[in-house]
Amino acid sequence: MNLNKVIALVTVALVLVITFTVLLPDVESPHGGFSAEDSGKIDERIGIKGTNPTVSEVQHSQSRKIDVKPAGPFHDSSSASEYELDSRTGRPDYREAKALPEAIVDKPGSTTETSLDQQIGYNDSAPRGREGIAVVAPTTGSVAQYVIPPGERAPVVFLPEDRPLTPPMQAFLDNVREEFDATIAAADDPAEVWNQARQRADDRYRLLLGDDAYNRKTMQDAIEALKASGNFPGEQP
Amino acid sequence: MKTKIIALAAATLALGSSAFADVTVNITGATAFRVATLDSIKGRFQASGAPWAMAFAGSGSFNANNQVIFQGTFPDVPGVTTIRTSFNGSVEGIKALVDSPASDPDYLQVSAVSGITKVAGGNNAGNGQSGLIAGAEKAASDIAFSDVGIAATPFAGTTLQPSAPEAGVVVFSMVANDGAPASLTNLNTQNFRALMSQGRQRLSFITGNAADTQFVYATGRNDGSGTRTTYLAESGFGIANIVSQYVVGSSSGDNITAIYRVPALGTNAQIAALSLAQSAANASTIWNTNQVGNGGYSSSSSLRNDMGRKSDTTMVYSATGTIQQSNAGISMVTFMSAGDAGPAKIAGAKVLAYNGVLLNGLANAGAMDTADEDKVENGAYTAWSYQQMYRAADITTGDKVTVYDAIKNNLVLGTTGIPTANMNVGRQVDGGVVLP
Repeated sequence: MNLNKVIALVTVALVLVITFTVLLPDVESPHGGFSAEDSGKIDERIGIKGTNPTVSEVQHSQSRKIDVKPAGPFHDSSSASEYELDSRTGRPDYREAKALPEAIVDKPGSTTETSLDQQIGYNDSAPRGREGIAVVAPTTGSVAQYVIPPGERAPVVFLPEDRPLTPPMQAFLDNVREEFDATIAAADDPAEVWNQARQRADDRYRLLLGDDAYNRKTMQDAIEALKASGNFPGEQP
Repeated sequence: MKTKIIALAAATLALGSSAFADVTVNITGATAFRVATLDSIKGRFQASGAPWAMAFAGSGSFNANNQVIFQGTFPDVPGVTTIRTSFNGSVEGIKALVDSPASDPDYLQVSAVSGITKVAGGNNAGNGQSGLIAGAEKAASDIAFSDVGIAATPFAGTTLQPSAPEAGVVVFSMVANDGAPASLTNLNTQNFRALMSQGRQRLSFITGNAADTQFVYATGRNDGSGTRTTYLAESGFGIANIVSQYVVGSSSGDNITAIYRVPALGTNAQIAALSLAQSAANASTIWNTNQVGNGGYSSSSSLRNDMGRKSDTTMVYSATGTIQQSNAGISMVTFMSAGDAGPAKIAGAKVLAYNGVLLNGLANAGAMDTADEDKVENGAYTAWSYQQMYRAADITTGDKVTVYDAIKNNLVLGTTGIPTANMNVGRQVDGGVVLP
């Protein structure tokens, strides 16, 4: 082995050590996934997390960009600062409901779907991104748009699905989204209930599709976050 | 005046009819608390001190039957109360509540019990006398037991009553069939997930001993079962994911002579050509995942009976009848409630430790002891779920609620379940983290 190869190997090893000891310490939860706290740690590493946010900070939190896929005609590009304060609570109004166009009502996941293939990518039809997630309510035909509070993350059920799902599975996941939607919508301050609601949504996702699917999605989400921040080894944003 | 008297009489008659209207309550769902439920119902009729009777279609003790019918005076309920049971599985039970009449189960016709002379107290049973048992009929269900919450079913968006349906805790155990090698003593979640995903593993994969070359096969229930939902939730496998399970196709006395991987639809011509027992009821249809290997036993009692048999010289077939092993010594492993594991153990099955924790009483005597319960109640043993007792959404008041409350408050759990109040730990969702 010549000196160049040795230097190259040592360099690679150092990069790996730095990556897994400095960038990603303690990010794995006891259950193999990422907790909200873990997600916050990642966010801190990549410089997008505010700690103990005030109302103002929540309202003007930095845009978090991960996996911003083509959102289609219904993508809401509102930044956090565009949300108005609720006149009653003085807190930012996270929820913005709007009529769901027919095109989304008929997307896979609605009760009219029968094809397994058509189930793939259901979530891709909904606008989302690190700056916010969209909750599609199949029964009411409305879209709710939320800002993810600093230090928190979206339930994995809002991330793209990479496998075919049968209509009963889709219905189950729709219910998980709706339950999350209802919890956040009913809260005076969504930031206060976000973690608990996200935890329950993630638990129910894991219940349906298993730990492996949950871990795969949270890992992919974390990788996308690192890539977007420019801190993913070997890649530029 | 005459008109007023007639009107008053009519009103009195109507009031009287209303006050003493007969009520029929139909109960379906999980079998885990079947004995506890049937004993509770019987106890309530006995406690009324009024004449009553019961009948059932099968043999043996009444509480060994899924279809039982009671009739008589029920405490705090006016008129004649008829209670019918048709236990058929957890998810199927919830489905019956939310999808009537399409998913109505079969209940014994009321005439099965109406012909029996009723007496107060005692054990007044028709005892399966064929002349007393009428046929079954489809009927809407009022109450359903389930090993899992509705949030762990495809009907998660539906509301049922009440808001706190927990009626106790169902404990489960890993079980190997009769004659399992001495080295097979424990399964951890990784072992179990590997078994469920591939259908079989070398015993060495579980024991760590390379000399253990025989195969261990996965067996279990179809997806209408709360037991299956529990084992796929508890292990982190995912309740809607596809499994690979085998079922017994033939046996001779105490010996299993053939097993096969469950075909899609539960049956096919190739398995029939081998003269192996098969059933369309073994298909898994709840999650629309009717695929090869994903089916399983539709009945806990059939699985329980098969786990009490040996498999020293057993033919193993694929779902299409291809020979996978010929006259081989194999083992079968499953996960069942303590109520099923106990009789299976008595019949020869072996209760295994789960993640290194063994329910010694269940393993040695076929019934949980106090130490076993302590392991569950304090969090050391996590293979358990809440037994849910649901009412249909529209039953919020009235006699059916009275019957529901009386049965729930008087469940005779014995060693098959643990009162929720005894638990020092809990979990938010089925298979979720157990916390103090």
